[in-house]
This record gives sequence, C-alpha cells and structure tokens, in this order.
Amino acid sequence: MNVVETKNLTKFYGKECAVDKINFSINKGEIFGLLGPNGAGKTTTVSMFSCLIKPTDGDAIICGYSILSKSLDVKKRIGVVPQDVALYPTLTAKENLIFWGQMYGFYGKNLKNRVDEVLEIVSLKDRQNDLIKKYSGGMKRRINIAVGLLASPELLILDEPTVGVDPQSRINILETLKNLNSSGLTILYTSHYMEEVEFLCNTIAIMDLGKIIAFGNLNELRILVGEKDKIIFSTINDIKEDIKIKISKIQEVDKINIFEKSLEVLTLQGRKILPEVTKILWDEGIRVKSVEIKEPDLETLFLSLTGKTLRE
Amino acid sequence: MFKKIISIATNLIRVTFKDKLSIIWLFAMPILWTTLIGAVSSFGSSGSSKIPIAIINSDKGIYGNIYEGIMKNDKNLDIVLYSEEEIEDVVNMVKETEIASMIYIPENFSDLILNNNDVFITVYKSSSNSSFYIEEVVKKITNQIDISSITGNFVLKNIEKSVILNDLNKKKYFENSFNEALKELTSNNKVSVEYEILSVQKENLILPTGFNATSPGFGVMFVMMGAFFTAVVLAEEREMNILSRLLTTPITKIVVLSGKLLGVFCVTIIQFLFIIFFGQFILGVNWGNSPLSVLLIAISFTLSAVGLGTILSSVIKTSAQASALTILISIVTSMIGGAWWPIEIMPKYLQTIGKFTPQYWAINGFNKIILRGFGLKEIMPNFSILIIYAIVSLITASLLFRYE
Repeated sequence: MNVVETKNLTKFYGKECAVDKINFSINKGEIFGLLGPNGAGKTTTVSMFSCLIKPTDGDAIICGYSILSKSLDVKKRIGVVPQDVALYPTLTAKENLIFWGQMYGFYGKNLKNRVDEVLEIVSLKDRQNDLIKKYSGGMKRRINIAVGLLASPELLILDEPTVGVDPQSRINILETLKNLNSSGLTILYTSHYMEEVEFLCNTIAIMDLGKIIAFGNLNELRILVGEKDKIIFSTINDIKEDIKIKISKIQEVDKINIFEKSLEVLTLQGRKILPEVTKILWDEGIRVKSVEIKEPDLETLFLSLTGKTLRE
Repeated sequence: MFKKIISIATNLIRVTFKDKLSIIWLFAMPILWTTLIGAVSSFGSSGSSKIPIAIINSDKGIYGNIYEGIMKNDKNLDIVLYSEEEIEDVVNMVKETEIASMIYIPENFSDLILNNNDVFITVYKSSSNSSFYIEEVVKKITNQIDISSITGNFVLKNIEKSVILNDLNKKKYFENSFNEALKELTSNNKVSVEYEILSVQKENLILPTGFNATSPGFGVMFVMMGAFFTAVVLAEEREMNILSRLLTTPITKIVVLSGKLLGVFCVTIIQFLFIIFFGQFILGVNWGNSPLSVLLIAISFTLSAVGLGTILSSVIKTSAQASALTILISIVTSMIGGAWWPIEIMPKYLQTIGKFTPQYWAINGFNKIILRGFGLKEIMPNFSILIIYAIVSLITASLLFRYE
C-alpha cells in the first residue's frame, strides 16, 4: 500500500520551476530518502506534502487523501519536522510539547501521556522542564522531532533534520528514526548528506533542478550508473583546469572533477589508470600528497548523473 | 476549533509574561512615565483632580454655611472661599477659565429661607465652559435646601394650627424639620437631576494636567505599544518558522490568526486595566463613576490597536524592523493624538491630523469621563468611531497577514 503517491507534481515560483512534474511513491513501512543538493526542490516538495504550499499543477495523495482537496485530513495523519527548529525558546520542552499536542487536538490526560511517551522516545524525559534555549543543538533537534511524533502519524516527514548538529547527536537521531521505522512508521527523509541517506533509507530518489533523476534502492542505483571507482588525488599545489583535457584523453576515464588542491576521477578501472594519471600530474609539476580509491557511493552516483557534486 | 484558538491565545500570553523585557515595557514603563511626568506637570498646580470652584458666602446665617458645607462634601469639586471684596477678581478668574465657576450666596440667604421668601443663588460661568456638572450640583443642592425649607415651613404651619409658638420656638421647630429633611435628602438620593445638552458648545478649555493627563495619555500610548508588540511577536514567530509549522498541524489559517489576535488582545487589556487601576488607586485619578464607559473605550481602543499592530506585522520583513517601527509609530501617533499634551494646545492642522488617530478618540473619551464626569451616552461617539477603526483594521490585517 502506498502512503505517498505523486501525480505530475509541479511547482512554479513565478517563471522559475522549483518542482517539475515529479512522480514517485512511498510504500508503507519504508524509509524513503530524497537526496539532492541545495536548491534541488526537496523542501518545496515536502512543503507541498505538508500542505503548506499549493502545487501549481498535479497532485499528491498522502495516506489516501489529496493534498489539494483534503488538506486537513492529510495534516491529521502526518507529522512534520521542519528544517529549522520551530520551538518556543522561552518555554520548556514539556510546555512546547503540550502546546503542539493541543494543536494536534490532544487535551487532558491523553495529552500528558502522549507527551511523556515522545519524551521517552527521544530520551529527553529528564530534561523536560528545562527551557529550550538552554538545550544544545542536538537536543533541540530531538524535541523538534518529538513534536512531529505527537500525533502518532502514519507518515513522518523530516526536512534535513540534522543540519548543524554534532556527529554524536546526528547518530543518535538516525538511530531513533531507525527504531521508529522498525515499529512500522513510514518516514520521508530529505538530506544533502549522502552518508545519512545511505545509512537510513531503503529507497532513494535523487533530485536535481526540480526533477527526480534516479529512483530505487542503493544497489539499483549503482547498477543504473554502472560500477565505477572514484580515485581521489590530494595535492600539495593547485590544479589547473587544463589538466582535465589531458586526463580525459585516457580512454577509461568517465568523469573528472577538479577542486583547489584535489582531483576526483571516475572510472571503471581505477587501478589500471592510476599510474597514467599520476604521471600526467607529475609532468605538470603537481605534487601528489595522497591517493585514495573509493567504491561507488551516492556522491559518486550523483556526480555521474549530474556532472556535479552534492556539495556544489 | 475554539479550544485551539484558546490554546494559541493562552500560549501567547504565557510566552509574553515569561519574557522579562515584555513585563518591563507592558507594566513598569507605563507606571514610571505616568508617575514621573505626571508629577512634574502637576508641580506648581494644586495637583488636584477636582473641578476648581470659588464660593463667595456673604450670608450672615447658618443656611449659607450649610450650602457651602454640602458643596465642599462633593468629591469632584475643589472649593476655594473668597470674600465679598474679591468678587471682581474672582469674576475675572472665571472669564480666564482659571476656575470653572463662582457661586455667590447673598447676604440675606438665611433670612429669606426662614421667612419663606424666594431666594437666589447666583452661578458665574464662562461661556466657553460647556461642563454641566456644576449646574447639576448647584441645582441638586438648591433643590435639597428648597425642599428642606418647604418641609420646615409645612411642619411649622401644622404645629401652629394647634399651638401658638414664640419666635424662638418657631425657629427651633423650623430648624429641626429642615435639618431632618436635609439629612434625608443628602443621604438618600431619591430625586436626581438629569439634563439634556440642547446645543453643541465649543470644546471646553479645562485642560487636563498632572496625573489626570498622564494616566489616560500614557496609558493609551503604552497600550498602543503593547498591541504593536504583536508585530514583533508575529514577526519573530514567522522567522522561527513557528507560524508555518502551525499550518502543518490540522488547523486553518483563520484559527491561527484568531488565536494570536485573542492572545494579544488579552495581554493588552490586562495592561490597560492595570494602568487604570494604578491611576485610580495610587495616583488618585478619578476615572469617573461609570466603569462601563471606561471599559468600552478601553476595549474598543485595544481592538483597534491590535488590528493596526497586526497590519504592521504583515508589511515588515524582520522582527528587528518591527521593534524599531513599533516604538516610532506608537510615540509619534500618540503625540499627535494628544497623549503627551492636550491636543487643544497644538496648531489647528495638527489637531485635524490627530483626529485620524485612535489615540485621539480614546483620550477624548477618557477626558469626558475624568474631567467632566460624563457617562455612557456621552462617550458613545468615541466608542462607535473606535469600533469602526477596530473592524476595519482587523479585517485588513486578516487579508494582509503572511504566515511565511
């Protein structure tokens, strides 16, 4: 059964197309990753799913209800964790949860019990009476997630929930989400951190410039772009653009990316072309500090599909 | 739906009262300004909140003193006694509106009463003074004296039907009956005077001073600031994405906005009532005998201020902009509206501009209540205009309001 199904979902801001006729579905019980760089259209997509903004064209059916005609029914069934921490800093965690619980229609003992439950889930019950402004970034993010869980949603939508969070808190958040999913919660997770999506998600959609450019699980995506190695050269001196022309003459080279003091080469035969590329660099006076060969990952997939990295 | 509106409003009130800076601006600053500037502006004047009246009592008997005594007991009058020789000076003071009125009790007042003859009290009043309060008080006391005198004569006549009295006894019986009747009349107001204003007079030039000016004036200004505070609160919530998150929960935009407006209204009406009670019980401002009139003006003004504050929050982009504009707009419009000084002392063109501010209508309404003792009927025009302001501003706010 599909918890989410989009039908040519489109959003224009003036003449600018932010989301361009996207079609995908999310099955019940999945953790679905929406991966893409900044400006790809991820936040616009989840904003439409959350019924915050209306699509210019197309529709999406969330938990059986249309976002166009039954937005209130949709909102009753989803929990949204926005990119920014949307909490009252001068209230305690408990006061925040009570307020947001009331917005979901909980009152009295039901509300109290539910607040206690979500505080347990995010492991912040002992800090419930502290003001939000006194929390660390990671703790704020966890309460932010707790708000999204209050209504026991069928679908939890998280929009880049770990931005600005320390690694330990990030791991904590990801573990919590995995546990929730094992209890049956369907999750839509957007991020530009491919390692999070790789760790967490069963199904991944890669988005760029408003379009879904690839869709499937990690293995399917690897097959889609072919198994390719990524050779990373770290250099002592800067690398000039004209190096690209020389290296691209090597037959097995698929794609090249140049940064200030590093060079990435995508190829099917990394070990074979390594000496040849190293010689070209040496001849051009570029001194190599280190070399690394990496197996294909989402960053590589993205680079392969779009010609740019997730960091651009 | 209503439960959620109440929850949103209650939450806003909680967030506001948890913020120390808000408490300072909402309560401490109005008290400070009202007290300091009121004290400074009342220095050198009597500082009295009462209407100044001169009495020249030339009567040789007790009834002139009785009349004088009853007038002194009126809590709204500040009675100053002058002698017959000062009559010309006092008349000039009335003409210059230094005092509201002069009451002249003639030399033979008591004799005329005792002999059951016609007697006149003369009231000198400036033609520019449209207050009817003094006439009402004089009429009331005159009627009381008159009825007591009639009662005294009636009792005397009845006694004389069966008993022959000497002059001393006549006087004794008359005085006893007179005093009994007067005691009844002054303690139980079975008959009261009502009057209709038959013609519109020029605005009276009795200008509020001291706490009479600052309590309503700065009260109105700080309530406007408090309501404009909505602009800052709503802008902050927009910046923190709280407003947009609210819209991801199963509630509609109208519920969100209604809750926010109700919350701000509650905060500012609490503020207003606090300022009024402070003025009444600490500073001795007489906020009048019609609490309903005060409440109606307070509520209608607060509603219009909330509407205007919400419009501001819709047009500004950041909370920093909102903070700066809140203070600027509140102070400037309050100055023009007559919060800082009586509007009557400003040039005509500024007075005209001032009448477009809700502050003008609120202060004008409060002045009618405080200075002239007016009630519900007289403040209806002010209330009506403020309600129209409120309706227009709240509708405009709901159309312009941005959630992101």
